[in-house]
Amino acid sequence: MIAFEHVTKRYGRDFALEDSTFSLERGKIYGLLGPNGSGKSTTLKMMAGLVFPTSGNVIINGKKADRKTAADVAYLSELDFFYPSFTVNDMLKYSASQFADFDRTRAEELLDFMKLDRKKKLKQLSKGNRGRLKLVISLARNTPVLLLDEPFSGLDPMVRASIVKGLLSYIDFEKQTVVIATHEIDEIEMLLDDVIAIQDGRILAIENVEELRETKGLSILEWMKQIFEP
Amino acid sequence: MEEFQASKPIYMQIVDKICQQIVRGDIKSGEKLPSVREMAIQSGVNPNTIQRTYSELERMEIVETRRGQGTFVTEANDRIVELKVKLQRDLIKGFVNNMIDLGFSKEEMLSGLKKYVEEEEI
Amino acid sequence: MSSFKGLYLKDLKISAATFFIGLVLLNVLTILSLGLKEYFDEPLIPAILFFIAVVAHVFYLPGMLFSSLQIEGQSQLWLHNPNRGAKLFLSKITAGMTFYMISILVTMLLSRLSLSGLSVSNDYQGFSEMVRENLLIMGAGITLTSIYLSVWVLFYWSLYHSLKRIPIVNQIRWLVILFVWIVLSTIGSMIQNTSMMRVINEKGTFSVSIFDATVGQGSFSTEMAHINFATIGQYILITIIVFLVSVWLLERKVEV
Repeated sequence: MIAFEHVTKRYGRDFALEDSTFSLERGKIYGLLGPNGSGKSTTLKMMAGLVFPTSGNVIINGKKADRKTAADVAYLSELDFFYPSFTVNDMLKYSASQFADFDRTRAEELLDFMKLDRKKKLKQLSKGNRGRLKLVISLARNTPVLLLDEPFSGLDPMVRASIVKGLLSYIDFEKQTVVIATHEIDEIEMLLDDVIAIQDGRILAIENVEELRETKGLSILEWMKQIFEP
Repeated sequence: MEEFQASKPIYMQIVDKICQQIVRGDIKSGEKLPSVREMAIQSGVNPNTIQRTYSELERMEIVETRRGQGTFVTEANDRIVELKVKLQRDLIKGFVNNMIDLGFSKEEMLSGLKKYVEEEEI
Repeated sequence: MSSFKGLYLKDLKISAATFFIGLVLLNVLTILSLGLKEYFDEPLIPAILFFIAVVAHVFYLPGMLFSSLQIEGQSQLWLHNPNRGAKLFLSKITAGMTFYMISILVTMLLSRLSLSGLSVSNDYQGFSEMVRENLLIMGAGITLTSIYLSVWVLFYWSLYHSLKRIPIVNQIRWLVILFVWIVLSTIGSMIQNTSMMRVINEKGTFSVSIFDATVGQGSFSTEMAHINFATIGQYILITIIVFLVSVWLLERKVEV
């Protein structure tokens, strides 16, 4: 579903990703875990076709990633950015007009679930509610790939819990490939099939969460402490 | 959301939890279990993990999946009795192993247990 | 709702603030011109100021597009979109044009109104007649020039954001843009000076007398009366090419 072939991405002298080759399967939830600045965000943007590799290939759903990849990928940005004069409803209508796979009924359901006021302007919403809205927009689409960049960052535990619940309720876990980039794993450990550890632009390991427990007796947190170099 | 131990696979921990609920009678024989998705939402766990839990329970013949209807706790009561016995054995085994580790003899173990049960009026 | 309509409404909304700033400036100009008129006791001042404002509209659309693109450059919201790059750009141009049209029409109207009821028996009769007779044709010229400049804004914005992916030039992107501008201008004037282009330009020129006017003592550029179809054709061609190149950059190279 998602394949990286010797992908390198450089910014100036720094590597955001260095000669990485891996592939992600359909119907799995992946955690892309690593400290800040490890290359998580860039990796996700490359999957979304928003950033292009300096060398190597990124293949999404059999096609080389570019801006058209947006048709196959729902991408939740880490940025708390929005069109200031938009209301919740405007944002919903706009997204529905842009994405052919946008499910209005599900979006309405999600709005109720997240208890978002449709008439409120986005700039009047709390940061937590804007985080919820971003998730509503991503989950309302029927895409083979769902990418979430730091969906929990800066949000309080209540919001985090509602986001986890939203994910569990609306992900199509047989068909969708979900990648969640985060540096906070507490919320999502139970959610993940596999974890990808990334540091300084290098993919250190990809492991199955249950196998880690079964064979090494480690939770993700303990495993990360071992694998990440100090 | 629930807390899980680090050392044991999550799907097995949920298997244990459901077994306990069945033995306690919180879930009756013949009762329908929540769907995989419902269970996933309730426990905040990946649906694939819950799927594995259900497969394991099925393998243990504690639940059965009826096509198009869902997953049900077995109506074979002897199976549930067996499960009860097995859980009891597992607990006793743990208790006995700990006692042996601490150097108690068989008699000390039994008398200690008897005394505790009488004093605490269980 | 169609994807274009969705984009268009969104682009109107995000540029609304810029539009209102334009309206405020126009109000300030109105008040200022009336004040100056009283102060200098010169009834033509508003007309001249409004006329300048009409001409200044040549920068309205490019400015509008630039501010709109700057908003989009802050996040992936705009580019995370499966629609074609041409559609994304055309929506921005259409939204910008909507505001542009309102603004230039209001300014032109003010320009005309400020002349009505004036006695034109003074030295500025030519100017006054020009505004009365030829304002619409001038407006069309300004609009076309504005569109031409706008596609260059699209081009340079796309180029700037495409350069982000090339590690060595990432830090000096503005210098690269300046360099590209100099190179393109030089090539442009070189082409204009080739003998072939001179012939095309001469053959393509038709003298049409749109207006003959005198302002004050001097004659008001009768050259403007020449309509050069060859030049117009070239500009249309350049506009289309620059637009397509910008779309290509947006779809393949731009990173925000």
